[in-house]
Amino acid sequence: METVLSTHQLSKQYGRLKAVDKLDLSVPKGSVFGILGPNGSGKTTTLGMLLDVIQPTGGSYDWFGKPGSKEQRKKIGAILETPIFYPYLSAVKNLEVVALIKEVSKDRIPQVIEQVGLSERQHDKYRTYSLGMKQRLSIASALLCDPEVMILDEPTNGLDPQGIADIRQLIINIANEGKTIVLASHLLDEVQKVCTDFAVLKNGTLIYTGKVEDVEKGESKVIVKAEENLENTLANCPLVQGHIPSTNGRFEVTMVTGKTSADLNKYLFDKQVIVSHLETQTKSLEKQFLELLNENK
Amino acid sequence: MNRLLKIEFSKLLSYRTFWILIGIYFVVMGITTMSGMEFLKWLAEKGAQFGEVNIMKVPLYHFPDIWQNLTYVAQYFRLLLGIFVIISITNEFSYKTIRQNVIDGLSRADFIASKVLIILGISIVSTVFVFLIGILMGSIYSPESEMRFMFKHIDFIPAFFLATFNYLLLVMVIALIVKRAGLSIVIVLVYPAIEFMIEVILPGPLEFLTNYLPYHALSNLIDVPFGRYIFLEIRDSVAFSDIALNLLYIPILIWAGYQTIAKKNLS
Ligand SMILES: Nc1ncnc2c1ncn2[C@@H]1O[C@H](COP(=O)(O)OP(=O)(O)OP(=O)(O)O)[C@@H](O)[C@H]1O
Ligand SMILES: [Mg+2]
Repeated sequence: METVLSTHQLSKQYGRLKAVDKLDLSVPKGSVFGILGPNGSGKTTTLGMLLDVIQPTGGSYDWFGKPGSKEQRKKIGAILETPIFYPYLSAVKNLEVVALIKEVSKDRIPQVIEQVGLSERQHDKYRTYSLGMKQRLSIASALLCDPEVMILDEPTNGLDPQGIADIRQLIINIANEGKTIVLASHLLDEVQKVCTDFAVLKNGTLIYTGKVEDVEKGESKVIVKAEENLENTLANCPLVQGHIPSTNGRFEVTMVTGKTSADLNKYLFDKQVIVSHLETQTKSLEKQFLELLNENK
Repeated sequence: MNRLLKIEFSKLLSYRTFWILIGIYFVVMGITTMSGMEFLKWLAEKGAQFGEVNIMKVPLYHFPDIWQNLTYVAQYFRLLLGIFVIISITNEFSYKTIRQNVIDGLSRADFIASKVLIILGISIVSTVFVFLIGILMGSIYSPESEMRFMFKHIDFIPAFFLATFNYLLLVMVIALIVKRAGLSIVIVLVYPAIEFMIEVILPGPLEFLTNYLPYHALSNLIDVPFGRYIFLEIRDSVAFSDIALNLLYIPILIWAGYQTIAKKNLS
């Protein structure tokens, strides 16, 4: 598979602190790549090095198989940490500066402003914007060059629920165009919904990298509830590996490998038990993330 | 090049502080340099005496004297341009926009080049402005017989350009090192004093070395002209060695400016 970005032993040291330590990453083309890690684990530092604003103290990186350059950055849409714009310029004027730097036409400006829902305020000065509006403008700015690759460092920071949903949809749409997205986020639920791959950093080192779908592949859990007590029925059910009572008369059931909630439902129906609640729970990325951090104490 | 200048313009054109500073510069410099005769009149009324000379007869605006007189006085206003340069650079650090510019696809060298280009532009506009004032005032005040000296000593115009350009480059370097507006302005103000202190500290035979420091170099381009009206000897031309030294300083200052960000993290 074609690789968009690869890092080789990439490192950044601040004095004695190893902010990023010998990082080897490879981001496949067309993937939505989540970078996870607790506060201070080196996510922003890593992205900063890939964008040439932080000088690595060791290692190297390649974009599209070539060492990073300004020409490549012109084709990357990136936001790093907080939105940065000229406070005395309007959204439109700020994006004009970006268009000139990226050597792209100004024609797309109204479109990207529309895309992030900022049209009404586009002629107001940036400094009069709310946090969420600033964040929206930075996403518009990242979209401006119709980028092959987007780097988004906590893109939903400060957005309202509608804004978060909008950005999620935006990311999915962009990914569906076959573009590559690198996303650093603390919203694991978010990452699970949009990412195809993910990596976990801790204290600057890579402790895990893999596919999101593999997280979900593990044994599935089913939550089930009925009017009557299910204790005995479940205990005797050959489809069930184990069950534990949960709140509200619900049971958390671990299925035998290969069996699903549909099988359980049919079994119970045949036993003339009518279920009032049935839900499949895939293993959450959040759970896996916390497990990983604990394993690597 | 054109693109870098366009980038710089789009940052500035809607920036009120830019227009205010540039506006004040041209208005104040224009008014001051054109009111030399008013100044002489005021001196005369105060009873000032230049020995035997009738003050009102001092040929301030006569060709070719005008070029040195005018450029010498006009130089004093460059601090306003310097403040503009400081703000245009320190803003990029305080707003962190230099970081975003690099993320978006500007190289650090491009960033410095765009600042040098805007400084070059301002120096050119300022020089043309002084030149036009010279032509205007000279034509008004010069007697018919001196009109043929119109372009004698016009070399003070390129000297003015060089002095302004190098001064602003020096200010740029200071702003890039200091990164904060207020402190940069203070340092730009005391910097000449620092060079003069070095002159004082150096033992006599080595004092000439200070003439090679950047501020001395650019100040030496245009000598104080007014001594000639009280029969003092002055240097009424631009020395080739001064031009050469200042030309040498252009790449040095640009290189120094680049070094301040070349290998730095932009956070
Ligand atoms: N300029 C700096 N000087 C010294 N240390 C720094 C600097 N910038 C970052 N660090 C340190 O490097 C480490 C990694 O920081 P980084 O910002 O990359 O973390 P992060 O994963 O993005 O965290 P967060 O989730 O809080 O955004 C931290 O320990 C931080 O204190
Ligand atoms: Mg961060």
